[in-house]
Amino acid sequence: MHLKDMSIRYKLITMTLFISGIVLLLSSTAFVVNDLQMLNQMMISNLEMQTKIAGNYAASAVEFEDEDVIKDIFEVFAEDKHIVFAQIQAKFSNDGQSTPPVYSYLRVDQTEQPLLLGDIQQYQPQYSDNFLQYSLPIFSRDSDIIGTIVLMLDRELVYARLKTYSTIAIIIVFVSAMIGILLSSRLQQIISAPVLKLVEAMHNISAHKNYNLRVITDSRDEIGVLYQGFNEMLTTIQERDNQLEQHRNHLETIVAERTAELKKLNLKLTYQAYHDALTNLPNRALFIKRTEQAIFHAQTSHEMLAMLFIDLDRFKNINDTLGHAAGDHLLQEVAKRLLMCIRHPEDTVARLGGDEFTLLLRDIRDPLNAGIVAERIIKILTTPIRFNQHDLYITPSIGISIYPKDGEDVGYLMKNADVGMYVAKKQGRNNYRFFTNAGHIAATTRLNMENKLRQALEYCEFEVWYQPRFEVTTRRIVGAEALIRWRSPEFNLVPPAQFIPLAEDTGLIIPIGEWVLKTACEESLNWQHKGYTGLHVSVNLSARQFIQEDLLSSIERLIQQIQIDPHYLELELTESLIMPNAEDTIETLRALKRLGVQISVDDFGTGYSSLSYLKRFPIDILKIDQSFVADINTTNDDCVLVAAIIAMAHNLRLKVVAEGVETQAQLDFLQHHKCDYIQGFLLGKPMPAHDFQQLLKDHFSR
Amino acid sequence: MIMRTIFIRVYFLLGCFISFHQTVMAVDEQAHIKANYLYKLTNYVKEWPQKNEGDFIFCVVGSKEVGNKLSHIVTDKSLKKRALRVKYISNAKQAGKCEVVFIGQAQKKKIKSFIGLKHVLTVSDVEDFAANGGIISFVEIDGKIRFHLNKTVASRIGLKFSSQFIKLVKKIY
Repeated sequence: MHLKDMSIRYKLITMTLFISGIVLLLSSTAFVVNDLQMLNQMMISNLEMQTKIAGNYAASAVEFEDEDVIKDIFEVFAEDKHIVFAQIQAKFSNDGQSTPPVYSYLRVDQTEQPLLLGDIQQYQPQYSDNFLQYSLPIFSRDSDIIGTIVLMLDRELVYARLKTYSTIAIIIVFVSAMIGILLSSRLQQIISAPVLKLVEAMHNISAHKNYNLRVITDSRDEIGVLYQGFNEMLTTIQERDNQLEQHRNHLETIVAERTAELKKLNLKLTYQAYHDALTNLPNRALFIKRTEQAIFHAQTSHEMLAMLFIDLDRFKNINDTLGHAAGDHLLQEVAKRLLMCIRHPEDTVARLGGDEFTLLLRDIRDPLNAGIVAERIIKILTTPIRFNQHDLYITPSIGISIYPKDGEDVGYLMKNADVGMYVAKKQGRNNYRFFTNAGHIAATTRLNMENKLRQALEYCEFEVWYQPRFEVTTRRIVGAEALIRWRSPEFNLVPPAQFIPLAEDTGLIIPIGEWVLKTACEESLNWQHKGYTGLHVSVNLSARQFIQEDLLSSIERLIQQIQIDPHYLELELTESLIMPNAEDTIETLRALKRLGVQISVDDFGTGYSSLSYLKRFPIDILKIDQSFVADINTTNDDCVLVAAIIAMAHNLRLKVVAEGVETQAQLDFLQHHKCDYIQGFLLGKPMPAHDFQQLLKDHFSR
Repeated sequence: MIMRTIFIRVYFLLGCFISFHQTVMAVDEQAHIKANYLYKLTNYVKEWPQKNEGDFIFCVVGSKEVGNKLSHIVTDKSLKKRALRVKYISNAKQAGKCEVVFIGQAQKKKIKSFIGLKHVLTVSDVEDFAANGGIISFVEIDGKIRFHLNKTVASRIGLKFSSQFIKLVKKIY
């Protein structure tokens, strides 16, 4: 166990014992060393004294060579068991005839004489491990040196003493260690008890996280300071803990609020994801989901479902002419009314987008019931919808598909309901049709054509044909109307009446219209380059194009790009197009006029138009609809009408173009009534650009 | 026969000479030891009976050998700043200035006359000298010279010996 792992109390005990052990060891060593030294000193001085006494005593005996006396001395030596060996060497300074005698004493237990230590003539104490030796000179009465006495002690006494001390020391160490342990284990508590108390308190606090606890002590030493510091720390922690608790509560509240908000928002988003923002009806996604659920249910319970596809007839016209606000209002109103037509809460009314609505009727029992609902829808939409002083009339075309007869999944049901709707639309609108296979074929054709139409522009399948316009009085060509033709590889030459409505429905009319405008302008420039100057080219502008916000800028850009004189460009607008939003239309028309473009009103006389606009609008030319021209020969009324139109237009300083002139009689009539220009098969059919150029060539060379 | 007789005579003479020499040698050594001891003795006297001044005189009678040896020993020696001197005397009356008187065995017949000298340390190598009223007699024991002392006579005439000497004395009267 390392020291650092030991409890503080054991450390203290160990330390105390260690220190006291060292002190004891040092002091006893000092004592023993000192005592042994003293013992040694004493032995030496004893030895010196004994040697001296013996030497003195032996002096006369040596002088007179009296061995008996010397033996007396040695007998005394025998009393002291520590004297191992003694020797008296006589030294004569006489004539030296006889050798000086040597008297020796050897302790009885010794077998042989020990070696003398060092030079005995040094008269110094000599040591070996076992012996202590001292020698002194022997003086005669007249102070001559007559001999030497040597005494040798064994040092048994020292070793015996050492042994005794060791034994005592061991006993003392043992006893004092016992006492030390006893005392230090008592005394260390003075220091360790408060520390251990602190540690226990700390364990308590960290185990229970209770920062209210405090430690108490009455000591004023460092431990006291530590206690105080610990308590202050606890106070701080407690305060911080409280703060944290507050913050946590606060955060929890905030999180709860946020969660609630998120939940709400999530619900809202979910709602938005599945609902149409305008009408609040389920959207396509939800409708499909509901239908799938209904089909699943219907499969098990053998129910019959009906899906109704509702398309609003000519809704685009309303949107285009009256603006999106009107369209939106209309859609909302239609949604409300559709909701009134359903029978069960589980039936679904949805808006798929644009003017397309769908109904899902569950458990209809008989397909006839779906027809009844369709009729009810037609009837409820008969009432016009009021918007900004306008009465908006809207009619639906409804297609119906029945589950499981017309399809067993959502896709088929929707497609077939769409086909039914298409058939209903084709058969005069404002009615409903159940899906049939025949209807399916027609719808497929339409769908096919729509796809082809999308590709047509890309594959350059469109052509612009030109129908010459003649001045009535001179029979001179003054210009041409640009007319689009679609030369589809599949359908051959498709008449505009077949694909233009489709293009209008799909929005393709915009790129197609732009292409026509651009091509016509380029061709017009071509004519001028070839010397056929002063020819107008007129281009039809669709309703979709007219309400485009960048109409003006795109036309301006085109004029810039092609470098055509804008006076030779004539834009043809239909009556229905310019009528409804009179104020906006006037602004647009004026802007176009400022560009220098001519404006004509196409199909004049077919719309529900008031004549007053003619005066207010910046129009240059009226084009009388060919239906009036065609009737010139048969009906008198129409003749009158045409004549009146021409007269009125002239009064308003407008030029008049008659369209669809096919007979000489018609031409004569128009000439008689001073119609300005004519177009028609009589003088020139629409023809490809190349043919038209040939015509110009022939015409101008004449 | 004659020749043989001569040879015997020669051997005899030779033998006589050798034995004589040995005797002379032994006598010479004995004299030296006695002279030496005589000189050393003076160092062990604590109190002398008279306070003489001048030279310290050893008087010798009856032993020329000891006298010679002693003369040799005490040459250039002194005792209490007194020069040592040897004086031969022939009778007790001449012992007036003497500190120590040695009476050799040759004067054994006259020895009685030396007994009773009042202020002199009398020493003799006659064995019973101390027992008969002399102070110290040299006695030969195991070939060594030892001492007999008549302490009574010594104290009477005022002679005091050191205990160092007394412990060597073999017989005290």
